[in-house]
Order: sequence, then structure tokens, then C-alpha cells
Amino acid sequence: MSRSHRISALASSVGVAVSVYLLSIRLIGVPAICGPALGPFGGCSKVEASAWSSIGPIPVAAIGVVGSALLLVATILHARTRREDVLAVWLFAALAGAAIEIGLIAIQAFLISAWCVWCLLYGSTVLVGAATVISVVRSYARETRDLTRPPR
Amino acid sequence: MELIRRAALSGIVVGVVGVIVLFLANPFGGTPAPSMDGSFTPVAPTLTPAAGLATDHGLGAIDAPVVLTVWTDYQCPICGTWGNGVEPALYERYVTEGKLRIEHRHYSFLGEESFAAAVGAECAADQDKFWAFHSHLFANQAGENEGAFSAERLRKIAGAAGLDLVAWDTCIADPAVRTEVDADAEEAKSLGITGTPTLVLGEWQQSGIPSAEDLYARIDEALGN
Repeated sequence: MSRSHRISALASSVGVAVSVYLLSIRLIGVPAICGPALGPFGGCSKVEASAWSSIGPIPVAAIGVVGSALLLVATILHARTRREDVLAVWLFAALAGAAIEIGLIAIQAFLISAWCVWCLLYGSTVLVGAATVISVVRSYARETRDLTRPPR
Repeated sequence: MELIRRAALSGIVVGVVGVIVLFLANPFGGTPAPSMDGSFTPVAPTLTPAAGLATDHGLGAIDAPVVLTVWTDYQCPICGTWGNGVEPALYERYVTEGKLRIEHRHYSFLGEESFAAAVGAECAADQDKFWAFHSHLFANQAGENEGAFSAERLRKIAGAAGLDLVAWDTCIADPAVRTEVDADAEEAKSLGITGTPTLVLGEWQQSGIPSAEDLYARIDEALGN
């Protein structure tokens, strides 16, 4: 497993853990371990109570669990097989997740005016995952170009 | 590489669509913003304690064998669940039997409206109507810092709770009352409380609402049952 794969696998695992935690406390109905002791990042209750914490009946945390699990599986599969179609799925999930995560961070900053440390931790795992898959794609592109370039 | 290019493009498109759906979900999925047109009529709380059972900042007999201290923020939605659902259940099961007293403490950290609500509650306590105001606040929660506990609405809630509004108006302007609310928050921090509601029963302290079975078991244990 390459360094990029290891970083992505670690980030996705943390992402799964954080999103499972956020989903479970929402389902149980208890507040996150958060609060004013965390300073500007302690606005979890406010973020969780906002309208943006779910899309209709689906909690955003549930989407996070599925997304991070998909990233983790794609990372491991690609590390083992190096197949292009797996890389495509990995890249698709990572870029879609990163775009949504940037949107969620903007919502916290400009619409809710509160930061939740767990949401930011989760977001950083998605953005790190996206950066690593881009790095893998660049390597793949270089290798492909080298293989297709006529020998001098 | 064509497959990779398509995957990248599709990922970005799906992500952007996802963000748009999130933004559009807000007006349909959110807590409705409270009306600010002056027509607000406070909702009555689910619990109206019997005479003599709501004293000072507590609900239940002063000499009840078990005291459950609850730290809340009036805008915290889970505290609303506590105030509107769990407290009435505990009232029926233990308080009316003289077995339990629920003591309220303020940990107002969600914003100015939380703080103003807590100040209002302290001024209600001055008129021996803390619990009436407190339960009216939870019954009239609507979002956070969106005007549900604006000065105008708090005054209407005070009226609905049966307060002398002239005395209440004077009281909420008193800086000493704000200091009391601040002091509660400082004490919460010193106790390591990081969220609301936080329940304290003897040595046991928990953030959030435990299951009914767990809570009843702990109260029963404290009662020696």
C-alpha cells in the first residue's frame, strides 16, 4: 500500500468513526461531547439543531457514514488491484464529498455562524482524502503517459 | 484516462448538486422561524405543578430525599425535550410522591437569547414564579437566536406565566441579575460541564438525556429501592 493509500485509508477510517458517532448521538438524542470549553469550535448544539443537519428525514451524518465507508473501501480496493475503474469510483466519491464538505463548512461559517469541532474534523478527513486521491490520479496519469509515449 | 476524467467531472457535478440540495432543503426541513409580527401568543407548558411543589429554582418538596440537579440552556433543543417531556414524567412518577426534587441551574452558552431567557427566569424567581416561567420558556422554544426569546416575546412569556410585568421589567435591567446568570455558567465550567442538559444526581453526572429506564433506576437506587 502506497503512502497516499495509507493516508486516505486513515482519513476515511477517522471519517467513518466521527460520522458514526455524530449519527448515533443524533439517534439517541444526546448532545455531542462539545460545548463552550472548546471555544469557537464548541457550537455543536447549534449546528446540530440547525436545519442543515439533515436533508429531509436523512441526517447529514448518515450520508457521511456512507461516503466515508465508500472512500475507505475504494482506497483499499485500489491499493490491492490498481484498477482504473476502482480509481474512477474513488475519485468520483472523493470529489463529490469534498465539494459537499466545502459547502457544509461555508454553511457553518456564513449561515449558522457556529463551528462544530466534530464536523470540522470530519470535513478535514474528506478533504485530506480528496487530496490523496488527486495525488494518486496524477501518479497514474504520469505512468500512463510514460507507457504510451513512443520510445526514443 | 477518459474514465478518470469523466469520474472527476461527475464527482464535482454531484458534489455541487449535493450542496444545492442542502441549501434548498433548509426552508423545507428547518424549524420554522418564530413569528415577529406581534401576534405571538405563548404556548402553555405541558406541566403545571400543584401548589407548593414549585419553590425557588426547584420542583418538588424541599425535603425530598433525592435531589436531581439539571443544568440547561433555554435554547438547547435537547433541553426542550427534557423540559417538555422528561420533567413532566418525573413529576408524575416521583415529585408528586414527595420522593424527588428537581433543581434547575443555568448554563446559558448558546447566545444572547439564552442569556436573556435565563435573566428573565431569575427575575421570575424573585416573584416565586421561576418554574412557571421556566416551563413556559421550554414550551415556546423555536430555533436559536432567531428571535424566539427576543425581549418582546420574553415579556409576553412573562405575562403568560403570571408575573408582575412592572417588577419584572425593573429586575431584568438589573446588572446584578446578569451577574448571577454568569456565575452559574462559571460554576458549570468549574464542574467540567461541557454541554446541556447535564444531570447531576449525587456522584453521578451525565450530559444528555439517559433512557427512562436508566434514569428511573438511578433515582430508585438513590431512594434506596
